[in-house]
Amino acid sequence: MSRQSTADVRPRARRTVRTRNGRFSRRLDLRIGVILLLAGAVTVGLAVYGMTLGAVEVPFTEIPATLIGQGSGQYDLVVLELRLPRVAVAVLAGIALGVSGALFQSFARNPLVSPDIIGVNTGASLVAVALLTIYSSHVAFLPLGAFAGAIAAAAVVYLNARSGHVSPYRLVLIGIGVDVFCRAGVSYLLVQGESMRAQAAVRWMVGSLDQATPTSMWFLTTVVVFLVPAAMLLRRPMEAMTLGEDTAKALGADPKRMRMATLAVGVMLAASVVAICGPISFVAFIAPHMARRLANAPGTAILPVAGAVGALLVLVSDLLVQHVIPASLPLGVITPLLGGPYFLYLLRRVGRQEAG
Amino acid sequence: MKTRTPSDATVNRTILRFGWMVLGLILLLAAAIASLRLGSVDTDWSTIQAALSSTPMSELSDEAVIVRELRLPRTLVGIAVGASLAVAGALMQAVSRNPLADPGILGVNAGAALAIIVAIAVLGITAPTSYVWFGLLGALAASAIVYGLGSGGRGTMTPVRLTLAGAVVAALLSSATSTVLLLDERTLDQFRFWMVGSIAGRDMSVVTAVAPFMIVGLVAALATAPAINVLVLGDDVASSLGQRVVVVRGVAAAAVVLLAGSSVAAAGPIAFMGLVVPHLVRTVTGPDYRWIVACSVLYAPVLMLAADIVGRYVVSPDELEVGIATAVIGAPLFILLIRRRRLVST
Repeated sequence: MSRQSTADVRPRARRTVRTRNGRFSRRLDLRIGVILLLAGAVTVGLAVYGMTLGAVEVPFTEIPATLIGQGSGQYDLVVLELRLPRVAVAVLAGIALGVSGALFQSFARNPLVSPDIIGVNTGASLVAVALLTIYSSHVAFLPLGAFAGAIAAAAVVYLNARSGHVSPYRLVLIGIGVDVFCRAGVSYLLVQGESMRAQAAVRWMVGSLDQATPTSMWFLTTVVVFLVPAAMLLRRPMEAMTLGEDTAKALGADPKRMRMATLAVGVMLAASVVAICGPISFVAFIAPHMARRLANAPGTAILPVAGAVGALLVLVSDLLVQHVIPASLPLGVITPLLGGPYFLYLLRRVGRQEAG
Repeated sequence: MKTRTPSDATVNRTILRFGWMVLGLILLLAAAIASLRLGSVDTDWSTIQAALSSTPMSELSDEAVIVRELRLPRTLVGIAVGASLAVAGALMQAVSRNPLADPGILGVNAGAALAIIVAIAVLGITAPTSYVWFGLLGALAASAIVYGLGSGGRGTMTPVRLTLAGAVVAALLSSATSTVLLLDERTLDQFRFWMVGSIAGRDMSVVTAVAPFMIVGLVAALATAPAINVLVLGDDVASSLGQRVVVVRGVAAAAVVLLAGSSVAAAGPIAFMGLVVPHLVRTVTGPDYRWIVACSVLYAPVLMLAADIVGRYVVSPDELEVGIATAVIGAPLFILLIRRRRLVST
């Protein structure tokens, strides 16, 4: 297993902000701050631009007005019911995947880890593909079923890995077992079904935003609003955990609870996304790596950057799928094409720097 | 090492390991015979003897023809693929120092899949026996790209860079594969049967096509195993002990590509073999790669053939493909085993 490297970070601009009486202070990382501001601005700009595109062209200035209810009213349906949910789901799903991926990679201290490893995506896929191929009369339950499948698989992994305490290594191995099992189930269902249904299943497993509705937008908003701050709060004790269990205890962290909380937050984030968009697993894997290389920071400091990178990745992919690519392809086909080459470039450029 | 007399514990351990090897050999023979005998058509000893003798085809009974033409290639492919994938998986996990790495991380599966997709969609090829060469070509090309990307540029090739480059290239290739599958339903209809991983319907031409690659790969794996024991201590320790780290890692990676590439070409992707069996074997042998490789060669085919035989019965009159059977039977067993063990991290 690769170890987290801390020595390779160049001297960086840091500034400590204090209140007048010195009771509260916070160390700010300028580079991360700048990246977040830039990424946020680009995301908002692209999101608004994305809402102008489509069969009905909406003037750029109409978008903000319509969003706050001050528009001319003629675009309300298109913008509020169709385009806003899709754009918002793209951004929210990207944030959730990036943060969840960063949590899992820090937890397992293994750069290959994504929420996949606790069975989230394959568990969801098993239920979803069953609904799409064999029990197609119940296909309306697909999001609910996928969510349940994801949580169930994660629970199976967690409960089997928990003996005394959940060691990341044991978790990874049990995760492999559950993953292989669920994948075999998916293969079996794909071979059994008719080829039409198999194609619908393959399409779902690539991941897309075609199912973005106002309901799914509000669901993801709730998830992100509650769980991303929770993940941010977990950062400090997680850093303590990387120093080893005894040191972490001495620093006031409760390792057992920490592990459970980290896994719970990561699983919930990933499961919510897979329920709505299908497994866009590549984002959860790649966003933390890109964030780590962009922010040039180790450990969990990159958590918000991973979210921002994830949001940009999903949003841009979805805009490309909707408006640039001629054939009707799901989003998941494009994300690796978009993120992959850039990541390979980063990998070559920052050759000496190891990822955690 | 030479001056020290081995302690009793070491001797006992070695005897125990030889015991495991002998047991493995016996089990492998039993599994091979069972694989020839069992199935929807029952056979007896004389039929098998006739099928394995040099009796010309025209004089054989129908049962003997089935054994010679169907079950013999199937059994041989099963043994070869099982052994190759397990050894490749063990080497891959050692070279990348990551228990999550399987041969697929080098892009082998994704490359083979894309090449076979192209064969089906563009060239209209549908027989699994003709997939072999495309699969092999795709696997070799993909792993060459991964290795080039992982080692080029500034800095040296580290395990982390190699695995990350591999994961990204695999994702890129499979996104190309999905694109073709989504746009062309006929190709998907053919491809999904390959994707499952199966050793049924292979003939002797498949065996002869992949055997040379597998033999070279296995020899390379056995030859590098002692060096890998040193390599897993870390690059710094290994090079301070006088090991040429880059060479060892390169040879091991080449062995992985040969073994896994020819396996995926012959039988499709069988995730369980490359990913889980090395962990299973390690729980028995301990961390010595010489024994891990040796035991993988014997025990992985036993698991493979056993799963294949079970697959012939459970959903009769159909057959459960070995790619599914290994995972459905093996994964729960694996989880049970991990639960009960005190684990030592790699």
